[in-house]
Amino acid sequence: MRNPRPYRQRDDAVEPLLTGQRILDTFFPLVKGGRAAVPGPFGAGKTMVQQQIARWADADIVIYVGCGERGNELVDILDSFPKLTDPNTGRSLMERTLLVANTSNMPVVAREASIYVGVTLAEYFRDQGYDVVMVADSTSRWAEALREVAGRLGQMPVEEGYPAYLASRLAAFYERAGRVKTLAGGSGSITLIGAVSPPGGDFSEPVTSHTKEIVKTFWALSKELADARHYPAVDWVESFSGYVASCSQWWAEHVDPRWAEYRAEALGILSQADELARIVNLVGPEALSPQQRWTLEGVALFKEGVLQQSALDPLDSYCSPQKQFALLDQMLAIYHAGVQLLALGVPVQELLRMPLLAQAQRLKGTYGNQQMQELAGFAAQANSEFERLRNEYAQHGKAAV
Amino acid sequence: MTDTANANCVVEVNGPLVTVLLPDLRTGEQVKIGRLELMGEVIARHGERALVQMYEPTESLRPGEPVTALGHPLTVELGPGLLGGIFDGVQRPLREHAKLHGDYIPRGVHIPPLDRSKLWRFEPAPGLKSGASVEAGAILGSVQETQAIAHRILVPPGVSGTLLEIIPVSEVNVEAVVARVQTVHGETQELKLYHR
Repeated sequence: MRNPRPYRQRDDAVEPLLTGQRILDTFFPLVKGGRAAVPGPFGAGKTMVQQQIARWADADIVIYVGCGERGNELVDILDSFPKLTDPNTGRSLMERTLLVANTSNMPVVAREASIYVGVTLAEYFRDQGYDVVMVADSTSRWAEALREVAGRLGQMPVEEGYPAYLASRLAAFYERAGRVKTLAGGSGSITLIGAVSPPGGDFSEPVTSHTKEIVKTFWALSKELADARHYPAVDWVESFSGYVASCSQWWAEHVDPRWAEYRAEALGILSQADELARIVNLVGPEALSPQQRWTLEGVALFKEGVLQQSALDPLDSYCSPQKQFALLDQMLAIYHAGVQLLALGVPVQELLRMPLLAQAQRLKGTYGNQQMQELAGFAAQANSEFERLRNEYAQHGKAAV
Repeated sequence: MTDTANANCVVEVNGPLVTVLLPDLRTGEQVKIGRLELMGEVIARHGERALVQMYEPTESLRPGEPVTALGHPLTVELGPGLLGGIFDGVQRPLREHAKLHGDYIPRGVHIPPLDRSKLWRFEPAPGLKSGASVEAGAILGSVQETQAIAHRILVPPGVSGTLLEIIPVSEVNVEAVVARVQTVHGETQELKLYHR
């Protein structure tokens, strides 16, 4: 059980693991057979993110290992999971789910073992040719179990009391993820998603920092975003994904070839947010140039219209890749149109007054995944509004001449 | 302390860590300790002594109690009946425990992870006849475990050889032998719906 099950060979075909969460799929993608970590301080919505993944991920089997979390939290999960329904079949989600539960008050070796029990079960289903997602909540508690055992054995404590082999154990665990050709000749995969609970939200502690070196997708949850009611509270500055290049091909084939370009541009605009927000805090919005004020509006568009996603809204809880791209496209189109109009001399106040900005932010919850036509309709309507402004100001310009 | 006087017994109890005297234990091996038959795992060896980390609380355990080695490391039962299940860290089925004992699991109780009484409809893989050669990981047949998932019954890792017999479509429990394989060493292995 502590040894991996055999397979024929590794398979490097790439297919993204679609979770229907915009911040995950579009901005920090994960592939089937990939390794991801979700570090987040207490109360940043770790469990919610993992439940959304368990619920919507396009995998055949989901294994949820509740490792060393508090009993009442696990009871929550044990209560809620059987009530969830699989969006694809409409039947109980439990039919494709397996729970391994170990609370923090259970004996420590059982907790250390639970991760291996989970991953062995995952390998068993992988060998049958299924795509398996295993969620381990949380690897920090597991590392604490290692520490407790090591302490009893009198092994040398290293960083923060963790044993010296912490990094290699973590690496060995994540190494069991992957997409393989099975012995029977089929193909199956294990995607490992480990939650990390850094004490005090400090990402430099040993478990988080070692995990960060091992995984290729890192969904950093932020307390500030969660406090600001920005859910899922995935921080777009701290997070990263090493699968962007490989996923861009899939997106180009199945959704739109401009995906990688748009994603990069949106992240570029978002990265200016912090700096601009600091200036606004110091001297107020009046000190910004019209272009900067428009950028700030663009940031709000992306945050509200794309990044934030309500798990409780039936239209928004799962977002198809097509809708994800359409929303991203729409926000960028509005942003670009605004930049053009500003160059023509349209006052920024005029732009900020436009009611379509607020409508665009609510698009995600207005139209469902099947209503792509209506989304396109909105895009046309927005275009004509901008066209009207453009004509108006072009004529002003002529009149002045 | 007279270590040699009483072999196969508990020497020292220190929280969840128990020192036992049992010369042939390997690290990682499973042991049953005491009259309650508490389960544990050997994590270190010093000469004749072995350090055992227990999966269950060790209150009231004392030196001198008997120890039995099980001869295998911690294993997982793999077979139909896993999906929808809720297990703890050593694969004890928590729903069944809750039904029998309430919210807390008493010590020394052993319930197999997979339900032995449930019958599954086993369908052999099409085209698979006795006399065929099978390798580890090959698909023997399948069981429709839930509506969405067909549970494929695999030849366990480490087993390969000639298929002597495979049963036709039938309703069986996980303990039933569904196939027999003659290995290259000439032994006959019975394959069930589950393996470890």
